[in-house]
Amino acid sequence: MGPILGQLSKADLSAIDGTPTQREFIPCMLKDLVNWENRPEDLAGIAYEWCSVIYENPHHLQNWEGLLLLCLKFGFRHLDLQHQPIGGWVTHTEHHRGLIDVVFKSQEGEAIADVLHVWSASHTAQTLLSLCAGHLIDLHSFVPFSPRLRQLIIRSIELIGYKKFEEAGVEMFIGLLNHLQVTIEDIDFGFPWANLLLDTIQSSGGTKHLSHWYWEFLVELAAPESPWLELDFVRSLRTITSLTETKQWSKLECWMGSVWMLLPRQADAMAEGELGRSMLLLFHQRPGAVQKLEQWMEQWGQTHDRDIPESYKQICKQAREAAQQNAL
Amino acid sequence: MIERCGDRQRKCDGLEKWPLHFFVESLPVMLQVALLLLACGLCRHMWSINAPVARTLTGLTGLGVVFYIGIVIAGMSSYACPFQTPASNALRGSWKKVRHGITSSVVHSERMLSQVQQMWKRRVRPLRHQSPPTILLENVQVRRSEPWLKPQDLAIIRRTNTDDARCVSWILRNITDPEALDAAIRLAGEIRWFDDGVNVTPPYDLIVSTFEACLDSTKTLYPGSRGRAYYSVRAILWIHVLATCKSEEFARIFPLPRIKFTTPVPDPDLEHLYISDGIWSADLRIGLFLRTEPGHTPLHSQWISNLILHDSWANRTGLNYKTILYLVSVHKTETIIPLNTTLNRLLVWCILLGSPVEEEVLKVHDKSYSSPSFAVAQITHCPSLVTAWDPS
Repeated sequence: MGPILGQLSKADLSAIDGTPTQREFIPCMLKDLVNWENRPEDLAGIAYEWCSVIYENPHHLQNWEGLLLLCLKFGFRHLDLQHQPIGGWVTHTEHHRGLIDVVFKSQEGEAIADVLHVWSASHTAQTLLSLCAGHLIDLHSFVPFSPRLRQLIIRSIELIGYKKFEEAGVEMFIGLLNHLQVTIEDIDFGFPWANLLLDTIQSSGGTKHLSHWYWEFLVELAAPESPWLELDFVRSLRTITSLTETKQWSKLECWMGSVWMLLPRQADAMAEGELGRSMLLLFHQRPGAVQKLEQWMEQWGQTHDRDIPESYKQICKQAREAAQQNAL
Repeated sequence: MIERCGDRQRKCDGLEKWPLHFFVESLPVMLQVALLLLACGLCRHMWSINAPVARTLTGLTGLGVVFYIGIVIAGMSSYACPFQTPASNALRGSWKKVRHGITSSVVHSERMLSQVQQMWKRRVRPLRHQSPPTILLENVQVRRSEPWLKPQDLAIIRRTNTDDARCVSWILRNITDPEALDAAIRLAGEIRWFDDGVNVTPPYDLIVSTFEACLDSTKTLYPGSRGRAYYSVRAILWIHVLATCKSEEFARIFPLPRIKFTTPVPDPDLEHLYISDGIWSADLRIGLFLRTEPGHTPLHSQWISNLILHDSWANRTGLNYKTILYLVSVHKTETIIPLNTTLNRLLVWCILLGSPVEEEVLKVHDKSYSSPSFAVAQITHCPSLVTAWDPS
């Protein structure tokens, strides 16, 4: 099949520069290819090459943007999301940058998913994928998310990282995250997501706008990933202060759990003391948090075979005694 | 006649169901084993009676065994070898399996390696705290060229084709057995007539008259003659189109008959081949083929795709593209197209897009006998490819 596909690719590329009649056949052929059941994976590389040539020669073709979307459809829509050997097949060119504008302007969810698929599966397309950050942050306002698109956006966010989204606009990015409601089943690996959430929470609008869903998600991620994550203690204290001032106790509860899990072994007594004061305030406002935090820390200790800090135990004990006295 | 055919078919089915060939083939094996045991026993017995005679007997037995092994190896190495034994057949089958297993393992290992590399680059690296590398847009071209059709494969196909052509032609001219005729007509629609090395003229008139004999005076098919009519039309179309591939002048020797049969015909496959000279222009045929009418059997779809491929190749310079464009503008999506048919469709698209079908496509695919004929037909016209082929 390979030689025949190669022949077809050459035929199509030469037809773009050919007679008007030959060019008229191109959309027909693309529609025919889209109808092909069980298309081979090799088509991904061919379709991607065609995209580049079509973008390079728009004046030769009528409705060239529609042709680009057709190319994406027959090249990528049939591919399994979990199957990712695209990297070696596709050749990225400068013209592929043009796909971003065309695809996001079309507001066709599946076409956007096609582009995200090829770039997220190709390890040489990090640059191209990063350029999508600005378009992704407000995508949910225009395009309904299909399961495939949602999954690919989640994967793209994981690969793009926080920095690019911060440049595009943190508040809108948080809006996108709130819309996605990512779960542990949706992500490939916890470490990039835990890092991303730490950065997002500690950003300017993080404490205010990021939904409670992600604070709990962070606790879920922090437990297994804590040995590899780094916490800026000063910034985390700022977050605690912000949460206390705005009286968001449920978020503070999750944040406390995460901070304790990520606290380095050599954390000084002063740091633990700072955390202790905030915890007592939290337990005063939310007595049920004691049990929850203890449960999280116990799980964390068992996972990493680590002892729970003495100061932490002490604070929990004090909180429980205070609660008993109040009850009496 | 139909009853006789049915009876024969029933017997044939029974032979296949109860593997008679296995028992028949095992008889010579048993004879050979018995002979070997007898010789061994005789030798052993003679050693205790007369040593010189025993030595002679052992030598003769050894020679016999060596000769037999030689025969088996010869039969195993080439299917064309006339000294075929059951052992050589079995060994050839086993060798093919082993070779296939090795090839599959190599391909599988390469895939695994590729996936591991992907996993490493995409997944494991972030876990190791390393910031993702800044990768600029770069060209990555990993496309492995597939093997060409080997000259020896081509030689085998050519030889088989020549034999088939000679055989079919002889049967149609000399044999009256209906079963043999049906089989020959069926094959006539698949043979690469007029290829290099095939100096046999197809019995075109006989096939046309066979088809005419399937129709009564009102041009309605006789009951039970659907199969013969269908395969006759196939053979007629096939021979005509192959002749067109040679030249327009040559095609005039095999004109499409102006035969009409009363519609509706019994099934969509036969209806698809409805011959009416003048209406069945090449443009119309290609257009209708690309629209993929539903209801055809996969074998018919594959065969017709092969025919249309030849047809479009033969008429590539004289096609009315506007007509085709008009016909393919409506797309039907409900039909699932078999892979082999799809490959032929792709080649038709290549021709329509104005690309010369290059030697690169000349690869034998995993298709039935008829399908790779286009590729082979072309390679026979490109002997330079065969001579330029480099096994390394």
